[in-house]
Amino acid sequence: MKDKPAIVGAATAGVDALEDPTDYWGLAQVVSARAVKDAGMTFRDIDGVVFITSVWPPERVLTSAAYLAQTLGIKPAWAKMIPYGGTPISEHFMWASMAIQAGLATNVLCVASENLNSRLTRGGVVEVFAKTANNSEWEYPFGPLLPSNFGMIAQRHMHEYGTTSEQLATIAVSARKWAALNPEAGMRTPITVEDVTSSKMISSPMRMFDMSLVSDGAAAAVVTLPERAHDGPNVPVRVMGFGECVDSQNLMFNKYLTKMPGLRKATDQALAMSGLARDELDIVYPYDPATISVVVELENMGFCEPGEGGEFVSDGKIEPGGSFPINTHGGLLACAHPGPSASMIQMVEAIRQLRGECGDRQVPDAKTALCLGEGGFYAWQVNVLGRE
Amino acid sequence: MSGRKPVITSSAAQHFWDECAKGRYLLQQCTNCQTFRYPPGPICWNCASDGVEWVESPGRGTIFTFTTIGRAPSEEFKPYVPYTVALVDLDEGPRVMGNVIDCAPEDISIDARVEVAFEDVGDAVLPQFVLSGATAS
Ligand SMILES: [Zn+2]
Repeated sequence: MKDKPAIVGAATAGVDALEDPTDYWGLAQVVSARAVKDAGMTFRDIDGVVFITSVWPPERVLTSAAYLAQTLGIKPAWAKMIPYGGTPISEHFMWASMAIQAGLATNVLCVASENLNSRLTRGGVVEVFAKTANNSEWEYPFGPLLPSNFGMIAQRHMHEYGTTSEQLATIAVSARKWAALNPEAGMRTPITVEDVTSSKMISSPMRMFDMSLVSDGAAAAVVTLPERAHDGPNVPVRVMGFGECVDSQNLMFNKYLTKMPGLRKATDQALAMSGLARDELDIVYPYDPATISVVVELENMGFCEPGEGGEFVSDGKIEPGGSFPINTHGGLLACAHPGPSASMIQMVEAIRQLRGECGDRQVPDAKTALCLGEGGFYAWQVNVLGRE
Repeated sequence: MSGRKPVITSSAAQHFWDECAKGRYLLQQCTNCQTFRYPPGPICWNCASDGVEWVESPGRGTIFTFTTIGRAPSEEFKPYVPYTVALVDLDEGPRVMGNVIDCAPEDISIDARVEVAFEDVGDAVLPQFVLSGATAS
């Protein structure tokens, strides 16, 4: 573990939408300052920045990492941009680790920011994502929503394995239970399985409560050299391993929809690099834009057998106090889904859990976590985090 | 209706859409390995050959999966709600997206047989699908 890059600072902003700025750059700057302060550093100590593009112009440009670095007075900087969409949105720690190991940077600030809700409103987001997440030539003329992709996956999973809407609904119910314990979460009101299965049909069989929120929010973290892990005020969390693999970008190019050899490969890569086995993970963070995502991801990451995901998630083990805790912040389903920053919010939650800072929702003595990020439909990235 | 026009990105795609407007469903077939491909493009994904010819397809296939939409993504789709988007496996091999039209959503199922039916949506003629045996309007 001593040779692994260390995450020594972490922060969120705007997730609770209370006092923080609601503009894109303002959120990015505030969260950057918080993460650097949390690490016991100043911007003068930072020599690398990893940033992710916005969903929507004018900020959807590839110069944004350099722009953020200059607004924060970070120079000279190694500045790396991650495009949102198509590639997994959780690549920050992979790029930071590789840059540190290659000698390109020593203290890397990893940032994700978006103000989807303030800028576009829910209806605007639905339209923008339908047009950008779906192919504008071969898909959008037929009117799919972004959730239609999850509807088609779920329809197929139900057909092949007999998975039920009630089983999927338990995932949304569990997400609300975790969210109720998280002061930053967007949807903290408890719901029942019946609330989910009677909510508005969006794209069958996916209903309103099967789908994630539309939010603002930003998150950031500071990654440093392995030997500097203990220089700051926090328990260091190590980037133990990562893996990345694409199964497809648009579902019409995906042979199975329910089987994802690429996700299995990315998971195996990340675990092999980390030296950990599946049963040594204390918390798993699937990427949950829809309830069905959790089922197919847990199956294809190898935490249960193909087709058993519906049963696996619906016996209470994924809930607070359960034996297989997932998405302890409430996930995209109940905490926040601000597009490009959803994964960093998830990873900051994992860091806080491993530091033991999570209060009522703390998983006792959590030492290891696996975080999954997705881009488009089935471009995967897995991060394994751990502490001594 | 307007706003459903595909964003056409290549000369091969232009040919496909132009032929749709004439009521002809054309697929590209590799002259080296005979694999059909969709969307159209210059190179065979199976063997990397650039040898290609256009073949008129009867447009028959099987529904691989589908979803019925209860909330329109934008203004231009509101008149169609509820409508069904399906991924169809053509008998020639490619998987394509289309709406299943001229039937009640509850009559649509995975593995149902379908065939192409062209629908004029105002600013485009789209290759849609009807359940086999049904009559296109
Ligand atoms: Zn070929």
